[in-house]
Order: sequence, then structure tokens, then C-alpha cells
Amino acid sequence: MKKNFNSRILGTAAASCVLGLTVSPRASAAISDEDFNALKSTVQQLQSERAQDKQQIQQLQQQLGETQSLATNAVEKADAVAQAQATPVRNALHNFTMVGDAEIQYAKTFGNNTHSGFLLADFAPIFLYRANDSILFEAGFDVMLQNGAEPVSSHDSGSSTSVGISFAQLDYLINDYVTFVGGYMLLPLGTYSERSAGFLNKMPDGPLGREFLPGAGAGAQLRGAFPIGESGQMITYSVYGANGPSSLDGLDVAGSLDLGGNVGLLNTGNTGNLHSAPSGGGRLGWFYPWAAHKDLEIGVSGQSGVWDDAGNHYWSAGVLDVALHLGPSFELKGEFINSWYGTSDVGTVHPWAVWTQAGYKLAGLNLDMPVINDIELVGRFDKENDAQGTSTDRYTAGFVYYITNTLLFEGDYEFLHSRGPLALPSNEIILQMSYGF
Amino acid sequence: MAKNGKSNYRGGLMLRTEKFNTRTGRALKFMKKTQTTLWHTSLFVGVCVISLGLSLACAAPPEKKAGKKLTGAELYAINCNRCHAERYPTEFNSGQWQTLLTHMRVRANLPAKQAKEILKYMKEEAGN
Repeated sequence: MKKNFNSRILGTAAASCVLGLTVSPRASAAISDEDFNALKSTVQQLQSERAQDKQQIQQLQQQLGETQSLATNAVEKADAVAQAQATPVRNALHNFTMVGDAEIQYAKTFGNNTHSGFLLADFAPIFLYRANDSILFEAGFDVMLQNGAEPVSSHDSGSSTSVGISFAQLDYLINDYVTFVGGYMLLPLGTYSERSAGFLNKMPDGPLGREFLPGAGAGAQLRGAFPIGESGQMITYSVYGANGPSSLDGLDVAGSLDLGGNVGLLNTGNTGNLHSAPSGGGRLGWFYPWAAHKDLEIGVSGQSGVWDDAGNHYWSAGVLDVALHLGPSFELKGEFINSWYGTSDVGTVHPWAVWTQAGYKLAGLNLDMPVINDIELVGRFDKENDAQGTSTDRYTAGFVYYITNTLLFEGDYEFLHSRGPLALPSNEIILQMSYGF
Repeated sequence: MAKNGKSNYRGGLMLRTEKFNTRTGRALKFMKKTQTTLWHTSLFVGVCVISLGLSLACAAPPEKKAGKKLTGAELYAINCNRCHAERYPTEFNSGQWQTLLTHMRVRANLPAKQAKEILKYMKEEAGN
């Protein structure tokens, strides 16, 4: 009986379970009105968004079509322009840049009963006009301010400003190896006038002997360089013709030589050379670098031509220039200048000069001290003999303090031994601020 | 059996241990010797390496191999620093550098290809 009772209970429980399982899904299959409405509104929203997306796609397709049409037109226009330019049109750009330098000094010349004083030593702007990659016109000026002379006596009074053209030349780069230069051009006699003037010179004044050479001349020149290999080695050349030296007063005596005139425009307004024939000259140089900041350059240059009005006497000059760099801290350079010219009073006059200058940047000592690293010690020995009784030896010790890469504070003391009728004043001390821009 | 009648086990063990110790000792000695040798060798090699490194660091940079093209920066160092202190590319804009390099190519008599490489180098970092 107990077993029967248990069986009945078990069966009842099983039936209940089965009933529960079959009934509950039927009950959960029913959706409420709220859920149905929510679902309906979601579907409607999605349909609306789809319609909007379709519209946007159509608009974008239309825009793409228009853009493609424009691009096609632009390409066609460019082709048309390129065809129209079958005959090249050369246009000038007139790019203008100004560079140059300015120096202010405080100097004292010992002896001659003179006092120390301040001065605007030089303002030398250079104007550069570039027409295109092959054409450049460049002109350099020297603006000097000095005391004027009282008209009755020679005493200094007032001031006068002079503006001189140091060069004005047209450069035409014909090809990779030949450049034409014409006008009032810097002459390649040595390298000083082309590469060491102004703030590039590490001393407040230039070396002796450069006054025996014309710094610039009216003429025409071909110049260029031929590289040797890929190491930076090269041969440089310059060959030129110029009006040449002339006579101050038309005479052919020793004191009449004029190295700064004969520029082609006469006082009468006519054009012409003051004597019968132009001078010719040139420079050949060899540059050999064997490592960065280690190089040697040797150059030989010269010029020759008549100088007197009658064309009876020649003026000639030869210059040997050398520059050596041994690392970024040390440089040594110099020139030997030899000139000679015929005269009617003293025969051949033979002025000559030599200068050598060395510089050592204290950064080479690797002391890692801020002020010391920006100082360069410089020294120069120069000697000249004008072959008319005056000779000068000078020893100069100086320094350069690089405030920036283009603002230099320089100073030097010059020990001078000069004798003869045109002897230079005694020792001198010069402090200079030099700005290259 | 040991002579005294006691088991030789211990003695054997001791003997074996002793032998083992001896071998171990030798091994240890050998290892120690090897270690010392290794240490000395390492020290020597280390000193050699450091010396070599220092001498290489102090030595001048090797010359450029023939035929290898110089970069704009190298050409700048070779040519431009001969005459003046370094001019930074940011001092001028690209157009100004074009004009300046034309001026310098004439003034310094630079070969055309070198001038172009230097110009390219300056233009890359030019100011605005």
C-alpha cells in the first residue's frame, strides 16, 4: 500500500511537471501591446533613415560626377597650356636680397699726437637681384663717414659721407663650368678681395700690400670650376680682360700710377679707355680637401697691360695665395704679392708685399667653457716695400669673440715698424664690432 | 668485515665519501681554478675591448671612400666654413637661399653640382 501510494505521488508530480512545461511557453509566446508598438515604431524609424541615406548617396554620386568633369577639364587645360608653351617664354623674377656688413671701431694710434676715438669704420651693403637660376646682378657699396676739411685750412671740421661702389657686376651662369661676369667686377688677384673683405676678415684692418693691386676693374670675365672626383677636390679658373691701371695725370713717372680709375666713362661723357689697350689677367687655383675642415688651396694669379696714356709702359702683377685648414679650429692663409711697372723717370718700379695670418679657435682645446669656446686667437705678419723708399713690417696679435655666428667683437694690437717718406703711423690698438647680415 | 669486527659499511662510506670529497675537492679546485682563469680572461678581454673602443673613438674619422658622393652638409662644411662662420638655414627663406647660393657660387667659384647640393641642404631647413 505504501508502494502504491508512493507511485501515485510520483506520477502526479511528473504529470504536473509536464503540464507546467507545456503551459508556460504558450503563456510567454504572447506579446504585449506596448512591445509591439515599440517594435513597430523602431521599424518605421529605420525605414525613414534608410530613405535618407539613399537620398544622400544620390547627392554624393552627383557631386562626384561634377568633380570628375572639372578634373578632366583641368587636365585638358594644362595640356593646352603646355602645347602653347612650345616656344619657351623666359620671364624674370626680380628676386631681391640684401646682404653685407657693417663695422664700428674704437681705435688709438700711438705717436703722431693723436687721441683715441670712435668711428663708423664701414657700412658695406650688397644688393643681389636674381632674375632666374642663371642670371644675377650684384652690387656692393662702401659708405664711409669721415671728418670734412675746412675749406680754408686743412683742419678737420664737420663731416662728409662718401659712397663708393666696390663692385657692380652682372653674372650669367652659361653652363655648369662657365660663368660670364661683366661690369665693375672684383678682380681675382689673390683671394683677399673676393673672400676676405669686411666681416670675413678676422682683423679690424686689411693686410699690407693689397694697395699694390687693383681690387676691382671695369671689364669682362669667364670663370668656373672643374671638380675632380667626388671628394670635393677641384680646379678653379678665372680669365678676364679689364681697362687696367692708368695714369693720375697723364704722365708716365713713378708717382703717377693710378690703380683705382679708368672705369670707361670719361669726364667728357664719352666712353673709352685712358690708354691704348686693355689689360688681361686670370687665376688658376687647386683646392684639395682630404677630410671635413681639412683642406689646402693654392692659387696663382696675375694681370698685365699698359698703364700710361701713350701705352709705352706695362704694369704687371703676380700673386701666390695659399690657405690651409687643419680641422675646424686652425687656419693659416697668406699671399705673396709681386708687382712691377715701367716708368720714364726711375725705370722699373717693383713694389712687393707678403702677409700671412693664422687663427686658432679655443674650442679646439675641448675645455667646454662657454666664453672660451667662442674665442678665436688670430695673429698676422705682413711686410711691404713700395720700391720708392718706404717699407713697413707689422706684427699683429688679436682675437675674435663670436657673440653670434654673424656678430663679432674683434680686437688687435699692431706693432709697426715703418720707415721712409710715406711711413705709416706708429703702433695701433683697434677694437671693433663687426656685423655680417 | 673490518679488523675490529665492526661493519665496514661506515668505513666504506667514509672511504667513498672521502674519495668523493677528494674528487669533489679536486673538482672544486678545478672549478675554482677555471673560474679564476675565466675571470682573468674576462678582465683582459674587457680591458682590450674598452681600449679598442677608446682608441676608435679618439681616432680621426676615416676618409670618404673614393667614388662616394658627398652630401650637402659635407659640401657645406668643406666649402663654406673655409671663409665664414656657419650660416644657419633658418636665417633665410628658400627663395633667398637660391639667390645667396648663386652669389656664392660665383664668388667662391663653386662647381655647379656642389652648389646645387648645398642649396638643397639649406632649403630643407630654411626659415619661412
